[in-house]
Amino acid sequence: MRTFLAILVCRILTVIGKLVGKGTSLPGGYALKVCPDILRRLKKPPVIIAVTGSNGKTSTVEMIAAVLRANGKTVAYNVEGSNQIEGVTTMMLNSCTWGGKMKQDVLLIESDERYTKFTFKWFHPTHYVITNLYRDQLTRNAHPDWVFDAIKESVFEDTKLLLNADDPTVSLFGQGRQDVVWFGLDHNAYDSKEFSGAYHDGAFCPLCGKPMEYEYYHFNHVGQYACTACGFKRNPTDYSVTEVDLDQSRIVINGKDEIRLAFKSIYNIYNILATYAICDQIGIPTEKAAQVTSNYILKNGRYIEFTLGQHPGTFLISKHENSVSYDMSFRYAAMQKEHCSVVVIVDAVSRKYFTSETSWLWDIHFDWLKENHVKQVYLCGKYCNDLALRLSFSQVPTDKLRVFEDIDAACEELRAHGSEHLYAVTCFSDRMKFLSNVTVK
Amino acid sequence: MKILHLFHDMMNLYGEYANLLVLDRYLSEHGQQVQIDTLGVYEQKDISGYDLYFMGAGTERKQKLALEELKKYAAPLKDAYENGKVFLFTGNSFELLGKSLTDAAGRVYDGLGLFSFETVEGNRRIVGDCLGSCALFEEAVVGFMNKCSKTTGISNPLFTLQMGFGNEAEKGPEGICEKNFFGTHLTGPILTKNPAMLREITKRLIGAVDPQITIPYMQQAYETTSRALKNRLEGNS
Repeated sequence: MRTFLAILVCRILTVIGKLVGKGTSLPGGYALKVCPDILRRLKKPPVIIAVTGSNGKTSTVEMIAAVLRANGKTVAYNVEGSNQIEGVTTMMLNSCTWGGKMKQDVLLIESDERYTKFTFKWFHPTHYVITNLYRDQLTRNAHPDWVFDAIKESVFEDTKLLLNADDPTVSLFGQGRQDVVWFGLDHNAYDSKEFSGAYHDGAFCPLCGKPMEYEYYHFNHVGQYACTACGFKRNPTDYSVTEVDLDQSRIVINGKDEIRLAFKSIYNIYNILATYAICDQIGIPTEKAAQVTSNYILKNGRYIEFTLGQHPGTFLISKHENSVSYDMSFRYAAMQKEHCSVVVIVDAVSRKYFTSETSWLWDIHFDWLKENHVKQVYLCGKYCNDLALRLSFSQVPTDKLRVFEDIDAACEELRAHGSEHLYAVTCFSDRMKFLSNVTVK
Repeated sequence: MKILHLFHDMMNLYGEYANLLVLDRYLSEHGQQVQIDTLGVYEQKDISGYDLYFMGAGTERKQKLALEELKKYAAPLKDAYENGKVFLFTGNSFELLGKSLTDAAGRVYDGLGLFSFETVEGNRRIVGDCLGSCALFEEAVVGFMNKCSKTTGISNPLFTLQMGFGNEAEKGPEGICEKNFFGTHLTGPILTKNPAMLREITKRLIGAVDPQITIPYMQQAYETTSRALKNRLEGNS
């Protein structure tokens, strides 16, 4: 009876929520009040895949769902922004029968890294993908060690772990376990021997605290590492990107499946690799996963092409308070080698909570933008002076900087002048302030 | 002017290296020859003879590793402190210089004992923006805190917070200021965020500052944040 009531409450509130344009977590929240153990009570699909980590969750989940559906599987999954227990509950209660049975083949959950322990208190995933752990939204998440401890509480013996072998902190979840599935990138032409970044979160072993050594870095602290003291090191991988050719927009996984890249970033490659690995683990033929992820264009608005005046442009969503995501966007812009200008916008640090915190700007490796082919760097929004202060201590020549508190005014200048390619880099919270000024393709 | 950045490789939670970038530029503009050295956490070297010692915050695990290594330098640090050298310890790094540090599991670590305060960690994360005042200058102090501890036994706090968690309780006294030692749980580049604090540290190093010398964009950035925090405090945002 309680199960039925919880489902009823959730569905009524979902209908009302849709009418008034409210979020997806409130109905689940009320359902949990009606029946706190509703998630345990539901009859769940035989395969339950969870995805967590700092970056790449939403994209990975979207691609996994696409592969599964293309292969005739029915999937229930949560959309971005509803990845805490309330949002997961809303999704599950709206996907089951009135009797509380989920008839789908697969339950696929994007889980917020800090709250995942609350969701999996009630049931355990059969497969658990952990993508990476970076400094991310310290205002909420404190720091990666704190998040590691929070995720640890959601890792159980009866769950198969799929871990990013290239990220030392993520690899620590596999310590002492025999059945871990590892994925990672082989050494490739885009790696560097030298560390690049404003800080090195892989400098010390996450297990014993002694110095680590890297043979190479894919980016930031992600790469081939080994502790100089305790033997902790990158694990050999079950799923490997064996070839990367960004110029040709292609990768090869496990030496056999070629995948074309709609978006040539290392991030995208990791998301595809994780998708490939989990799909193989649940019995989808690898060539099918390769087919669907090949040239896959994400629908979540992370990468948008636009025009502004005579400028063609690429909008790269990054995350405020997440320096690695900015590093990746700037690296992408720097690697394209064409004449370009870069627009960086920090106006509202968060759309979800109040903060005026800007320390994270110092963690971003702005030096990517020192390249000669980067013509100008527009620093825009309320925190333009913090950006300018930060950039004035980087290797980017100060005569390249254009500082605008008013985002519209910056766009106006760009509309009137120049035709070089633009890379616009900002967060969800500030995205429309820029996109409302341009023509989206 | 010799500055030592202690454990720069491990105690670097949130852009804290920027404190020394801005201090370097500011001192140089005042005509000082500045030399900034680093001491890696597993490095061994003579650390005497510096004018300023700086350490940033770390995760709780790294902080404990740093504590063991810092104990090797207890004597020279004590000497420098007694001799009026300037210290800036941000985030949980200043906890290391107290009498003891107790982690969330109840394990007690001895501190270096320069001061008699004691710190106890818990499971509650205290994280968020801070706004406060400082007896040493007029301007409000802005910053960010990211800790899980309470520190008791400090009689000379550095700041008084109107927003944020102090040493022992919500709002109120925060950090420590003894002789030329500045310790605060405010994390990150507090000198880039607070021009007045940069001036105060510089005064302690060279006696006086030239009001004509400024760092471009710094004052405007400070005003943006202090305005945002004051509005927040008054309930206008």
